[in-house]
Amino acid sequence: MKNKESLNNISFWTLILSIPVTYFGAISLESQIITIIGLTIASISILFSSLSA
Amino acid sequence: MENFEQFSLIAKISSIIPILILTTTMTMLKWSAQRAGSAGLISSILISFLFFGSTLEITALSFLKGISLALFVLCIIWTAVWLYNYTEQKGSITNISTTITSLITNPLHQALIIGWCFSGLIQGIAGFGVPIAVITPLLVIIGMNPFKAAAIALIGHSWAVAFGSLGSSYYTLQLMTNINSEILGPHLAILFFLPILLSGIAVSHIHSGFKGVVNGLPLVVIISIIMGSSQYLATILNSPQIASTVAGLAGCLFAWIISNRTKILFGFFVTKKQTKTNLNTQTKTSIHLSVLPYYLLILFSLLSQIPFIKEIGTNLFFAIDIPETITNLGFKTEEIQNFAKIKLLSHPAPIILLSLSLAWFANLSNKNSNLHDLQKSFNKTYSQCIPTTLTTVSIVAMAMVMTTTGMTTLISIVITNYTGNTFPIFSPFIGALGTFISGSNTSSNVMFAALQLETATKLGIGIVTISSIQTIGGSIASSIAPAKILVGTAIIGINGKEGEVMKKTIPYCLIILLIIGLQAWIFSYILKAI
Repeated sequence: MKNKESLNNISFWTLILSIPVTYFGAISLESQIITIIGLTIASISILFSSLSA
Repeated sequence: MENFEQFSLIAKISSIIPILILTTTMTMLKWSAQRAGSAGLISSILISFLFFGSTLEITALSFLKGISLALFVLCIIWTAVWLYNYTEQKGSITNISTTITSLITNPLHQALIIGWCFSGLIQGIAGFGVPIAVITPLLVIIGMNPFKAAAIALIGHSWAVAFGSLGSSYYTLQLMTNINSEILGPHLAILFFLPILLSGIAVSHIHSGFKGVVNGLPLVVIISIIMGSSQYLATILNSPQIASTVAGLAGCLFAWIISNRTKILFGFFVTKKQTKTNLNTQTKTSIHLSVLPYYLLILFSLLSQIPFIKEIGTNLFFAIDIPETITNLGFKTEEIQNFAKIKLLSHPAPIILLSLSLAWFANLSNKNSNLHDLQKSFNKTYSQCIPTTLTTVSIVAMAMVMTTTGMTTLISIVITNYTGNTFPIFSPFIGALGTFISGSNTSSNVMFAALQLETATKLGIGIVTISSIQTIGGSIASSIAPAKILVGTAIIGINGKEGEVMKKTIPYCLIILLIIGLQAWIFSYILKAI
């Protein structure tokens, strides 16, 4: 159960981190590299989310 | 969409795959919504790149649109669950429940008031399975068979889901369809009269068969009119977020009055044992102090609609602008300014937080609470809401990828071609499918509202009617969603018997959905409603 909670926490906080990075990459700075970094962080979040479920 | 011929046959077939993955992994492989949502999102991104000409920028913008939309709903979920956890911690929910129980002595009336009206009231305030968690044990405590209790709670609360959870499902529908709330709300409330009546009849039937239907019918009809009218009034006053709450409250209040009147006029038999039990379960906390957060919530929701306050808050909002996107296949979505706007003075979340703060101060001044209570209830909320947040984001992002790259448009074309003029009959079943797989009317609206709207537009029938029917179907299907059933079975200790509960609720749910579909067809083709 604790393992599940930890994975959920990691997933949640990586998701939070991915939002500003993707926003700056895709909308503010229009930088493809930053967008890729943002989406990579979001993918890590999805991965941990599916592992914890 | 200019021309859908640019999509290959394989693209047309694969457009349904993310939904199929979500459905089959949950129903056949018994995955949780969290895992299935992640699988659905990944598949939608892959398909969008392979067959729909998506780009990195489109994926990033779809993700941000999903986050914006999810944030709007999640703010309500987090604050509503926090408010509920705090009030539950203070014993308020038990106090409210026992007060109602002590006031109603007729067993059928108890089932209707608690399982149908009070569950609607709780759904209006909290939602997210809370009505099942509160009502099922309460019905068992007053002597009902556990399977009947779970089935009554599931069917009984389903009418209140669309406007429930302080309007989270409703607001999602409104955002997805972009229909003015002043038009959508009242129209939805009108279409809800029939489902309210049918769910009441179903509760009577679950409780005591056809005898129950006959005995309970006068009360069910009168309360249906009262609850339906209350919902309509709340939407007319532009307060859809409290429509279910007000309707549930009105239903409970009226039932209390009729129950006492009946006792006086016909001398209904009240056993000493029942009275004693009720007195024993009464708690010492004042009922008004228990209900205070919800009194405040209703008050602030109404105050937020005053034109002067609305005007002050016009420029106080949080939103992002989404630029126009065009896929490599030429599918275009327009630029959206202030996407999923969160208005700081009228969004339900700040209103809930204000109500919670004042209720806490009231308890503090009565020496009935401290800062630790608030922190403890938040910690519980944090644990509960993280899986919900992850699930909501993945499903909403999946829906946004599908919408931005043209997958939902393609599906709607296929549905239109196959169902034609009978589409309104199938419309509630599409909404129901969404809730069944995700356990959430909100997620269902995110997945299918755009699709239903596009189909209605192509058929030339009322988009407001079909959008409303989407959420009504989703609302009623809360009674068969595995995620909701699990809450009921877990809380009363009949784990592993979910199938038996589902067997009880499925026939009622399907019959109600069919009747709603027929209602939608009449509204669309005979009444030519908007």
